[in-house]
Amino acid sequence: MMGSLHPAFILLLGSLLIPACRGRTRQVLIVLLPALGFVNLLYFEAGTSWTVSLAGYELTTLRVDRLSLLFGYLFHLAAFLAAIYALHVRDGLQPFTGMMYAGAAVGAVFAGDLITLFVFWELLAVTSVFQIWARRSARANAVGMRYLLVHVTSGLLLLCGAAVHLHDTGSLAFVPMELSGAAAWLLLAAIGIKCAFPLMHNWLVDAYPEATPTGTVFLSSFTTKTAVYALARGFEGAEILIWIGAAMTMFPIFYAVIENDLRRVLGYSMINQIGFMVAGVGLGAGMGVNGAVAHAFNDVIFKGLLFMSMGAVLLRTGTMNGSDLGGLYKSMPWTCGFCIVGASSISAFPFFSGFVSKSMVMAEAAHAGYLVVWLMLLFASAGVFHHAGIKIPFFAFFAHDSGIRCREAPPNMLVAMGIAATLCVGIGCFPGLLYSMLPYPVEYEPYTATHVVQQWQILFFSALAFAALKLTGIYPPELRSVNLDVDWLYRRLLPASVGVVRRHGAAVMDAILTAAKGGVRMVVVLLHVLHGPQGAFARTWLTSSNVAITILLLTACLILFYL
Amino acid sequence: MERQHLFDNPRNVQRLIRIFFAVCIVVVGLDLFVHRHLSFAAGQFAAEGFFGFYAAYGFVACVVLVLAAKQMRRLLMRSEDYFESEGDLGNLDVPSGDSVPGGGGKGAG
Repeated sequence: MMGSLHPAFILLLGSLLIPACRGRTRQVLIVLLPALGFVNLLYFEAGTSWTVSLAGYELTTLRVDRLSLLFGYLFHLAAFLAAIYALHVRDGLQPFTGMMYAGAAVGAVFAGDLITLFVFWELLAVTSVFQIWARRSARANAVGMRYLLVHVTSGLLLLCGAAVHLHDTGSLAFVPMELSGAAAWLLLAAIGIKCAFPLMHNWLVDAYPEATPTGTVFLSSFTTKTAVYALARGFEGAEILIWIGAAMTMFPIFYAVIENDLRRVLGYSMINQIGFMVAGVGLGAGMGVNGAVAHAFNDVIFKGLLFMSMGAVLLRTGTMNGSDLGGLYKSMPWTCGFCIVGASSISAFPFFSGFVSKSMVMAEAAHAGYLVVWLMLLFASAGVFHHAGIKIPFFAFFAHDSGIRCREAPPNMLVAMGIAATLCVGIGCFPGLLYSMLPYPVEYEPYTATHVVQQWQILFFSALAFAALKLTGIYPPELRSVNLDVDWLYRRLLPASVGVVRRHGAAVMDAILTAAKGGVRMVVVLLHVLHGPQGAFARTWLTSSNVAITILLLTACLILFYL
Repeated sequence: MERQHLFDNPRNVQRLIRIFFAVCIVVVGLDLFVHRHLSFAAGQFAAEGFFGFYAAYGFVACVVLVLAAKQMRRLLMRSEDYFESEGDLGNLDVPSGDSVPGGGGKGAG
């Protein structure tokens, strides 16, 4: 039977059983689903494809190649880790929608045509929002609705792009395309929203910190990585992506420095990491795409690990504000240790996973001669260490002692974090296995003496800057606050504008109507004066005066004619 | 009385900071001994090969980052319930820069 089921089938259909189960049975089921799905996936080899005919169109529901396989493995691994992490959750809604969400992501990366992709794309949006709504608060409801609106818009753009693409080329196949014509731009916009391109990024930092402690771990694994996959599939080598990616690595780190909610800091650093992937895709086939895909793989694990550690802190302390936390290494030493491993990985310390993938993108940028981009990426590398590598563990687990004394995270959370941390170190020390799965052959050696020393220099001196700024008191303190982002436009300016219209609209409308009525009255009066019983045009005129007027007019014409 | 933890003792914090400074000096010093291969093709970006380029870049980048972010706060920071409060264009006032509740300027380590 294995190998004859679509890779997404087990997760999607299996998730439907979850609400029917209770207690231990459900726990076994949610861990078993990704494991079974993974075994099923092992039976698929690159080159396989399944097609069905629907309403006269050929749909490719399954396309297996090196790119989709890698993401397929990754999503099963992520679902497995998230399942273990969420084992203690009693609320049945979360694992149910979570597994379905994972299944949608797997379906999307194996979709060979735009319609199948669209179906899974929308399923991703609809299933993922429950990780936010599961908090069951008014705030979560509002955030979830905003999140859903953004993602449904992305889906609609994808559908429009697919329709235009079909009209232009007569094909629905999702293949690499040139960035020319409406179809390609519509598709790029659809993918760009899910990828959190600059100005389209706000949904991520808005929604992820508002999800449940376990929900954020699910959310961080699938949506954006599916988008990175779609970008790598459709737009590899599009130069504009290099610049978009470089911008994405830069701007979030400024926000991350002043953000107080530590999961929101991770949200910003997530955009920063996706920036490296987007830039890698833009750098094109070979090392660029390899770097992007490898980094996506590592990011799911180390960002998942960081969100797991922060989720554990949130679960135990009930707060995520850097200003309220501190000193937790005393109560949660294991969580603290795993968090530091995740932080080292995202910062790309040698012998941790980020190092072996991020450096591929950097090296390719230098190799292709993009000096400015390279300097931006290097700046962002220093910055990410600064905010994700130092700030997250420092303010949660060290800094000043907040006085919070709580229990260590539940065992299932520690196990999930332990596996993720082991993978981070394992991939960092032995990148060969990951490299062998990448879409293009790898001719890159991350561990040269030069590279390791360079990386140590940049990281240790970033830390030195942190230490110096902290010891001199220049470093901005953690403050309970909200920082305005693009969301100000639609959460404040737009409603406020509507409010202004609502409040002053009636008065303005009255004034306009009064003015219009006045105008009409003027016309009526004028008509009465000219054409009324005593009006100039209603009078009986003498023939002689008519003749005199005619002669005057004719004379005037004659003079004008000769002038 | 709670048991003493590692960083409750200021001497341990001092020790950690000293070790950290020493490591910083060592990684810059390694520049003298390691034969460096440049990322860029010859002549494209010579500064990359200067002694301690990466260290200097990392340090300057982070100082610039933090100082710029601090200035951003003046423009962007609002009270915690900003979006929950009634939406009104007249309410978009800017708070004063760094009013610090509860200190936290100098933490341990």
